[in-house]
Amino acid sequence: MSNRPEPLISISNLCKDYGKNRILKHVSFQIESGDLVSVIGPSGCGKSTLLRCLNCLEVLDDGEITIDGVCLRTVDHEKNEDFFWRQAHELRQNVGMVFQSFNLFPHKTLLDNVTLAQIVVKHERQEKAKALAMALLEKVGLGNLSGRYPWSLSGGEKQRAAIARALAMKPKVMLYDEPTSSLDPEMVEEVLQVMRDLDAEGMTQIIVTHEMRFAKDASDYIIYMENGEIIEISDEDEIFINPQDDRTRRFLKRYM
Amino acid sequence: MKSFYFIVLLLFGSVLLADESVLRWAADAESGAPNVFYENGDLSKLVGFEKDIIDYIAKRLGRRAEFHQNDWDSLVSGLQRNLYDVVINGFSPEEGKENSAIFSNPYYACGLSLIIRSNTDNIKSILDCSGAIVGVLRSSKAESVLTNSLKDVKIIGYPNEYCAISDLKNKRVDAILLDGQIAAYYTKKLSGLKIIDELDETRYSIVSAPGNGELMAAINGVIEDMQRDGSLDAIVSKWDLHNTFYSRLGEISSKIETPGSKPKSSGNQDKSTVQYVKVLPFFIKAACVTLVISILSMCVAIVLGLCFAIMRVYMPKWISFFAISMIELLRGIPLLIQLFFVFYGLPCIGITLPPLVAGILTLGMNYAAYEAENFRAGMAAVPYGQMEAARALGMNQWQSLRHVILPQAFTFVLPPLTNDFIAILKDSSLVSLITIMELTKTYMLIASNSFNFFEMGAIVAFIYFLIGLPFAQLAKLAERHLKLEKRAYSSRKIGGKHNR
Repeated sequence: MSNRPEPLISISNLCKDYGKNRILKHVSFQIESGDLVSVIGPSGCGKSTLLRCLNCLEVLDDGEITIDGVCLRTVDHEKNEDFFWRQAHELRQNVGMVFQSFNLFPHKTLLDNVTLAQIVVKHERQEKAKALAMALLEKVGLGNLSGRYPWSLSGGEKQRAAIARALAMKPKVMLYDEPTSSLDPEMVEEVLQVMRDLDAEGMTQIIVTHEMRFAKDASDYIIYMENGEIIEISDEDEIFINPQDDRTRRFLKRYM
Repeated sequence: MKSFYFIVLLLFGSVLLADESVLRWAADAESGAPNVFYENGDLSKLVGFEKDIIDYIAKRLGRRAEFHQNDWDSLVSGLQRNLYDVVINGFSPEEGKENSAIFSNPYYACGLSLIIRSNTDNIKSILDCSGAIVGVLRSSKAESVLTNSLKDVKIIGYPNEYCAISDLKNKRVDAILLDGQIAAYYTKKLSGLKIIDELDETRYSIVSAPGNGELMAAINGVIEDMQRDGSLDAIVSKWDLHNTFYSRLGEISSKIETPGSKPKSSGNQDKSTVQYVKVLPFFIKAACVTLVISILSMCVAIVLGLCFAIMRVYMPKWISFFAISMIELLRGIPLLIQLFFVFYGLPCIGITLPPLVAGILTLGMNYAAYEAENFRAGMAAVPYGQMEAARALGMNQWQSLRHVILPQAFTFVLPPLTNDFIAILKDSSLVSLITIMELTKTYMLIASNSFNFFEMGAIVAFIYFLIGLPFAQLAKLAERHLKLEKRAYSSRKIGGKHNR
């Protein structure tokens, strides 16, 4: 399961509030390079929020996140908002994110969707960005659709394009927020296959999902969350065959 | 190209013209007969007895006379703003403007005439006007005389003679009280009116700004000379403006020399002689001014509005608060007041803008408030996930706005933007009040001088319509290009292969 002692992602004591509600309560875990981790749990348990915190789409209220040596704490803790956002920007460079609703840029072709951030953020030359974009679109099986606009694609194609877009920034970690939840059943598999391929290449991936079968088959391990807390972290066989906690058991019973 | 030079001239006119060899004089030629007016609405033929007088004075002073059009109400304000050197337009020193202006010796005098419809028989003199509705020119001598002498008379102030006269003909007022020679001119020109009473004396003086004492002394010298050598009498005779009050004014002069050119007898030309082809160049020139003002104002509005919208939505609290205040302020105050504030108010604190710049800035800023809200709505219409996706890809806020949010927002904003352009096209008529000769002002001048509000109105309305039309079409095209290509594409697909 692990071949490096130093964890790529380390989260300790992470807390997040929405107003008076505490959504994440002292969440701590570590992920090593190359792992594929599934986060499961009932709706509203905080798993999406956890993922968004990892990409600084949410500002954390307590605790700290370290990804590939870049450490992020609360704004208060740093006493310097500029420093916080510089850190956040640096941290994001290593993290790719895929959304449930794809969020492709509708005014751009697939190719431009994939090249835009390379050119704007990394200041890549046009040809170089295009070459990488074509390679990535090829890789997710969309090489022949590079000139199309997002609205002309199916859900599965859109989601694969979104993955290619995130990969273009050469992240060390990929985060997926329920990537298959808004897809028709027959399109789920083509997206999951892309993630399996990436896993085989050694990409570190964290997936918030309701696809229990995928979680069971592909994950290196599974995090079960409920009410903003991590209830169980365990090997996939372990959690599905022999859940340690009552709450995990109840949840899995409904899904399996 | 010609109109371009014209615009440049307008823009820099007031800067260039601080020139000693030029005598800049102003009057309101809108229904200004017989003082200063355009002959039969031909904007290349400025005539009038006051024009003759000022031309003569300028010649004697060795300067070139240059005419500036301004509304009667604003003529004195323009002096303070140094838009021109003198005003000659039937002003009398008694009107309580001593602090803001200096007056020359009188060059003309006349009585006030009461005009009624020919078929009115219950009004025999000014005293019968108790209980009646009487029209006067706004802030004229007649107005103060009437207010002071009669108790229960209802007075209506008009911006120009033509409005007063037509209201009299249309029975909205029972009588009007006007300066004698103006009353004479209009009763001669238009049928169905008669003068029944003459009272009180009003004397005309040239007006200048308090700082122009030297110029005024020189002008007074010329006026004295003119009275002595009969050239003033010649002009008055040419325009057939002699009366008892004027005769008393210049005791010295008696002999009358008529200059070479025979005076044009007024009243022999009616609207059928107005050549529509002849007025067209003036309308086209004015339409160019209107178009340039509208386009430049809209550019100001779009740029400024976008800034306000971004400041309001994405900037820290205090900047956002500033943007909100600006938006509320700019759209909460009438455009007209903003216009007067910028043009006549700001010079008091040392900021003097040329008319065209002031007009464009004011219109642009006023519309910026509306565009800001349009842009805000447009940005809000872009799903929040777009911003998140851009940020997650490592773009900063500005990059996300520039490459992801704004291009999408623009497609939502385009239809209201077109709307506002057509609105600004129409609102640009307000800048005529700060001396700019645009379409509406040109219409008023031509129509009031040719007594042809109906046909000229139709022409000007058609021109406004024509200007607005291509922009609506252009916007439609752009819209199709930006957004509706999607619809076209998908509708093609419905009939074709299966829908993916």
